[in-house]
Amino acid sequence: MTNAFLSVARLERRLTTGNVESLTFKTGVNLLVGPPNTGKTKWLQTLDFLLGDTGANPYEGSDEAGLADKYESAAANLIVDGDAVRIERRWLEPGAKGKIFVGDEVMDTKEFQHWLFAKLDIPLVHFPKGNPMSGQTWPELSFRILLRHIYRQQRFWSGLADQQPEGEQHASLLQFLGLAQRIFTDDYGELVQLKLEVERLKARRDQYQHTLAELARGLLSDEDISVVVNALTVAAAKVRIATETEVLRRQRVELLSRSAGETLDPGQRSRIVELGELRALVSSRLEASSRDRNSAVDRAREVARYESDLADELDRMARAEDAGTMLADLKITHCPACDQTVAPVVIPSPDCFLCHQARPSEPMVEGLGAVRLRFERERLESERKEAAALSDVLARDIRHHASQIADDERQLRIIDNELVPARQAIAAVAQEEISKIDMALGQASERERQLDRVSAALALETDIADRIAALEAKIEPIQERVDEVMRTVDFGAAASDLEDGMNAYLEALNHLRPHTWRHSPVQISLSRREGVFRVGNRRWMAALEGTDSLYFLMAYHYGLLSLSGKPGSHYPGIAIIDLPGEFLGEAIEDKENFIVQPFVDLLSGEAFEGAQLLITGASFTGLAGAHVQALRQVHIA
Amino acid sequence: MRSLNRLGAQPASLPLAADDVLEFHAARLMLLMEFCGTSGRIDGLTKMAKLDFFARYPDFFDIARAAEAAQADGMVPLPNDNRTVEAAMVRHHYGPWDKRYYHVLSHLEAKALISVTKEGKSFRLALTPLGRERAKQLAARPSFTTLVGRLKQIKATFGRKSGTYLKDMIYRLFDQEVSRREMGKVIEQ
Repeated sequence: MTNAFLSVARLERRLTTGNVESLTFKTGVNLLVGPPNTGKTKWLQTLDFLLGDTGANPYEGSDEAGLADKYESAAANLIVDGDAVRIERRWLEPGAKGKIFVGDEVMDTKEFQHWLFAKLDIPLVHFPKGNPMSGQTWPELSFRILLRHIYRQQRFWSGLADQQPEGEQHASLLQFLGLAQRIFTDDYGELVQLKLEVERLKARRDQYQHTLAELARGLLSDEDISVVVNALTVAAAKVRIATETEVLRRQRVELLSRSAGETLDPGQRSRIVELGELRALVSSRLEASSRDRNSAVDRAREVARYESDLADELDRMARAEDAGTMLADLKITHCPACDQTVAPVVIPSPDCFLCHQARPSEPMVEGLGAVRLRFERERLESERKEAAALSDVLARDIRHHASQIADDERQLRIIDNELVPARQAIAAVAQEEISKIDMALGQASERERQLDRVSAALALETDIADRIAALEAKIEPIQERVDEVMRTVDFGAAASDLEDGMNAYLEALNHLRPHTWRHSPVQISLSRREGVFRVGNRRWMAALEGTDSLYFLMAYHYGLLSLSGKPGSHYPGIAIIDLPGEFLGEAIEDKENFIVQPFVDLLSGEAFEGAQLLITGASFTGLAGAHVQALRQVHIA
Repeated sequence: MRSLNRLGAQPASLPLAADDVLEFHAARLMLLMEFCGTSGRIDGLTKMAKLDFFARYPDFFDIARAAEAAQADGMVPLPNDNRTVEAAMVRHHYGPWDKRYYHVLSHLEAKALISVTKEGKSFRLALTPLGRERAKQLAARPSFTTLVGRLKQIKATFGRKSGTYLKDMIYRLFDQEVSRREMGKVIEQ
């Protein structure tokens, strides 16, 4: 036996009266026999609950009157990889409802499933539910998901695992075949995440481009951009506007000088030119002085804050020094841990006498700390003096700039007053044309500002493109690793292992009762994304009707059980099958022995020592090689 | 944070702040017990921490005091003392906290300056006779004048309130600065 097997040795349920009802099982085939309503299904539901069901206990809400109050706990003796383990659930015990008692340990259902996986050497993986690119997070492939393929409930006889999503079924199959841990790797998960992120960013970029183009058309004038908005067209439009602006400015200067020539006499003209030059000089000086003054004010504010912080720290230092003087010299007299008076140390030791840890390398020198503090205070004091000096210098600077600004403003007023008559004369001649040019200049300036805004928005698009490129660079090596792993996975060989098992079962049925299975052999095609079961060329559900479906589903369990001994596979060597009394209108009773016999033969093999089948039925009369548990008491509602 | 006796060997090139000196915090807590407690005793770490919060953050104390004055008339206005934060605290489960409390309190207890006893679920922190004597000496130092003045005001305003009342009030009044602050982040004024 190479794989770890799970089997049930004993199943118990405790009544509230204290009595215990039990069933014992052996490895191999176990028949749970009894006429309808003898509680076979309820026993298997109890086992299901013990194996980590998170829902209500199997007796809660039961149709049978009083059953919910009848039992208080259930237990099972399991054999896990050769070790005997007792598990128990006590649903009436306060605080224990969701707990599983495993030997001496108490676990919640998730912990129990992890524990069981570890014992059975089944790897814990996360798998994509459906399309890996759907964006959903990958859930854990739990023992409960696998159990849907191990335990066939009486109500589920129409699919491989009825009502289980295809993604879960496929993941379970890959897990049993030993492929899940090779397919659902961290690399694969990361690859999917990164691809999703790239898709999201691409969608965002496309949306963004579209929206920006729409908005930009509204914002920009047709004479700037009429076809497409991108970095190149925006840059070209900016150059066009700059040229246009330059032309308008030249026109304005020409117009003004022409008008001045026409309205002013030559003697006055030279004075106007002189005043214009002087005004430009004073304006420029005024601007520089204002900038310097603002900068000096900001700096002075910063220095003042720093000075204040230093003063505060000096105050705190003074308190620290005073506190040190008052408190540091006191000896340790009491142990804060045990409240006892500390006894004098008689044996000199390099360790701390109180906590017995090695002392720090620096020595404890009384008084030296106060010197260190004083040094720090002196340092702070000198820094404060320096800050105060800097503060004075900045104050002088500010005063100087303020006076310079006042002088320049006065001079500017004088120049402007002198220029007023000339301005009025020129304005009278050229006002209308000047206004037109000014308006055109204003429009050009506004268009330039809009282009700047669009340009900034385009930078965001470039940022998204950079992020996509970075992610794609990250994806490349991961994709290569994932592809390499996928190339090494032989899906066909794994599928044929299960296929062989299922066909062996159908062959055995034909051997026991000729012409039972008249269809083609079962074929399984398996890939990273899906697993398809076919009979002939058709999917099994479409191809089979009536009791053939029963044979197919029994073959599925047989196929899974036959994987148990195979190296690398992760099927835990147990199947639990609750046969219905009738299957699609036909009584099962006459088929019971016949459909179970191949399991008896399989599990009697040496390779399956430790494997187990628990199966319910009405009679199983005369079936040899199986352990029988008979339930006779019929419960009538 | 180290005791002054252990700071002597620290290189002069490394800046030293008052906040790093154990006795700086020890002295404040002793004064807190002396001036904000009952006969040098404060019942409960929560109450101690909340009173200490007001001792450390003068501006927050002013706001809380003003809010309290709306309920109780006749409060004496505070002198215009130092407004800077004495030492920063962090946001913890029950409001402002300083994880160094355990260190400082153990230090005070070991030097027989305070006694710590358990009353039900809370700790009773009380100055010993030696602790009270040293606290009085500290209070007489000019460097502590402002702090002592503020502690007396805190006692007058919140001395009779329970730790839970103070905690709730801090959460209510300082929602942005304390309640919404991420756990473990420094509380800023």
